Amino acid sequence: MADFFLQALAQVGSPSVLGLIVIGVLFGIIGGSIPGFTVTMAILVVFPFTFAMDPVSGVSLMVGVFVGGYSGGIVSGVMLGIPGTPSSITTVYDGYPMAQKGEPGRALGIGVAASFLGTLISVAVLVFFGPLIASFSMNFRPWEITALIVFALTLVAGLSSGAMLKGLLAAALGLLITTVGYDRNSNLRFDFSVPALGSGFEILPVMIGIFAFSQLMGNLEKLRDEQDKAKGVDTNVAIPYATILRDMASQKLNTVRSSLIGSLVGALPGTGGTVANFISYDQAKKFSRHPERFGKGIPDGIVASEASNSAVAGGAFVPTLALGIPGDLPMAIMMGVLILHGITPGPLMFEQNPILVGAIYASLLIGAVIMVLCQLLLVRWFAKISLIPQEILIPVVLMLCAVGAYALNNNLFDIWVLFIFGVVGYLLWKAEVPLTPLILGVVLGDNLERQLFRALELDSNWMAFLTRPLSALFLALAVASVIFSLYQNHKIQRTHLKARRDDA
Amino acid sequence: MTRSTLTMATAVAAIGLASSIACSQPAQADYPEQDIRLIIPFGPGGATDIIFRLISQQAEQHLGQTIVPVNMAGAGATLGSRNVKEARPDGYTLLGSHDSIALSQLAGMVDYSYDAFEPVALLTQTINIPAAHSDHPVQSADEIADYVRENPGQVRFSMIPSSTDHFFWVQFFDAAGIDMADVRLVGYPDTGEQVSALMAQEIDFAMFNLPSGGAFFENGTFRPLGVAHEERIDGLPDVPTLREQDIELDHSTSRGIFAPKGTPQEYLDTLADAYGQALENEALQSRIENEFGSVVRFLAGEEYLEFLDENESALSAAAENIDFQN
Repeated sequence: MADFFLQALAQVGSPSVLGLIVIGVLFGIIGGSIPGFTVTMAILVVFPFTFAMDPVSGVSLMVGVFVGGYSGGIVSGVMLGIPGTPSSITTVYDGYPMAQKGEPGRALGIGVAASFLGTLISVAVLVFFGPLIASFSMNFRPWEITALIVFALTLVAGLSSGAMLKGLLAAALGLLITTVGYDRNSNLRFDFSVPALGSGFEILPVMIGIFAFSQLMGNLEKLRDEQDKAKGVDTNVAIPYATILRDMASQKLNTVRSSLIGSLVGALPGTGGTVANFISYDQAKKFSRHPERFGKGIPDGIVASEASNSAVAGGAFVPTLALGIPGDLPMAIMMGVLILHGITPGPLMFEQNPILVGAIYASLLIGAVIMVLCQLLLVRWFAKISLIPQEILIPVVLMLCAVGAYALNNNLFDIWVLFIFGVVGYLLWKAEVPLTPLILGVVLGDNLERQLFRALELDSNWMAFLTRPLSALFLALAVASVIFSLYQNHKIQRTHLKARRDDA
Repeated sequence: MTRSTLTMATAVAAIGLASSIACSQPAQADYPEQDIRLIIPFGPGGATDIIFRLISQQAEQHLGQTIVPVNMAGAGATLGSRNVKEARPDGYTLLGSHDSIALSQLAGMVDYSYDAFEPVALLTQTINIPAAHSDHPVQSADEIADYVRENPGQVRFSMIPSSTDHFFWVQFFDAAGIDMADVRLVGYPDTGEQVSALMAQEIDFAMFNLPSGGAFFENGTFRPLGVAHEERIDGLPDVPTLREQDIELDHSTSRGIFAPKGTPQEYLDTLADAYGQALENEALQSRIENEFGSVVRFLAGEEYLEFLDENESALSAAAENIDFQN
């Protein structure tokens, strides 16, 4: 173990490979920072360059993009209030308010630190427990995954910020959106004879549309209201290192818990990052002694979100390396890189190419270190985004969103999706409907439908959901989660009432 | 200059947006004069994507222009094919696809098939291999029929609905004398999920090929039950063909290049020449054979048309036994 790791480290530590990791990380950060350009896009652009490289160089470059990309979502989330990827939605919850309160440097710094620790912890999990987790994840059959998704959907209650009924309606609308297009047996549904609707709505344009539009239009409205006022908040763009260290010191448990959730849930093929991220934010809120402060700009929320979504980087490698099953699109491309070099990912890799496996571990670790260094250098520039006047920023961000939506599938229709859902999102936001549940529905809908039907195809007996231990556990958790959310909501409201009575 | 510094230099040069300077012989009729877009209607990183990228990289050098692969996944590979079908027939938009062009029509997803395109050339064929978990009582393809007879309505075959493996099983049932009513076909979205389903033994049989199943055959997780090809393949010398087991079926995924209807013949010839010369590269050949368990099979012009006609009639015959609207 240690022997091959050292050999791999020697290979990855060579200047040229280190250079490639730096390029990859920078590329990933930039890709992840642009709303709508995700880690997938960054990987796609870099992918053809790996053709001419030896395996270790190619893989290291890709891993660099990976680590950078998963941490890049912090920037648009904190600075613009627009989640760049589905798994950084909860980063916006506390990151954006903190930046608005005049501390963008602190919010970005906490995010980067949490990302770094999340990546490290997930690599440790991958190295020491990878095969173990992989064999355990084989217990997640259609029944278990269905129950897990049902559990994730119940988190809507906690994420609806008080508007429970509207939140549930939004989640239902999200699920409905995913039924457009060909179903699993090539039957066409709700296409209104528009050929473009055949492939349904891509998650990314829908998400960016809904969040970016409501956010940017909201900013425009504020601009109108504040035209005559001087800038309200004195923005401090410096990075307050001492404060960040103090913040992180108080988040030890939260960091570890969120990273573990990210590594474990991220290791389930096909369920992946977004679910891990929501579960982790929700857990942080439930375990917190002051849940009412979540969503107003506290470090706990940023840490929970960023530690978990970066931990997915290591987690996603578990099924890819141990079983040869890629869990998501970036991983599928990663596998493509390996296959391209004649290496088949899977259990044999550890025997046939231990050096390469070691190189992946080493690049993940080195990538994490480089990510922190790059981010800290870039953060001072990123924080300056808050100084750009809104009337310049908004059109630029919208244009980037449109480019990102198009580049996803080189499909013009996706830009229309972005705009249509942008208008829908803006109207919903005006009606004070929470938008996160809607996206949760969109992200999970497809998979829920597929897994549920497959479970019933394999065994037409509904009782299987309750007789299989893991699936029963998740369904029980789902019920508990709903009850707890109701209780916590009730408690928060009572303290509000009490506070009001005391004031009177 | 060591190999890794060379790599570094390549990467830096590439990221610096250097254009590829290829040594080429002058092409006729001034075609091609600009980059050629090759639309791949599947996601990046899969076997189809990589095979087309690899061969196109070689073909560029004979064309003197860059071939830019563009992934356009969605709607069961019809998003990309429709895009090419409606593109200008000027030779600068091509489609790199396989049997799914005909399958989409047979499954009723679209109303066009091979005939909506100008076929340029067949490039490779990937041989399909039915497989089971190594703990499964069935050890070869000729035992499947008996196993189904002993457990009617219990045996589960995995497939991607209206994809190559769906058709493979229907043709296999026909060749092996199995009644469609006695088996259960379970749908999966992609090969990766079928691998994990077979590992968990929630299905009995799946169709793989060397790129998707090779590692699992090698470490003994799965057992290849037969090879759907005229002769045994190098990667699995001990596995008999289906014909050796008295099942008359050859089945492969045939990947080729198509152009929009009405593309001038001389452009098609230029492209076919370039791809033909690319496939003569021995390094490329051995990669296609060893890493992708595929065989290089180059057919252009009339020969390719004939091939596609035969391919389509075999698939249409199979489609008659499939109920796509379940």
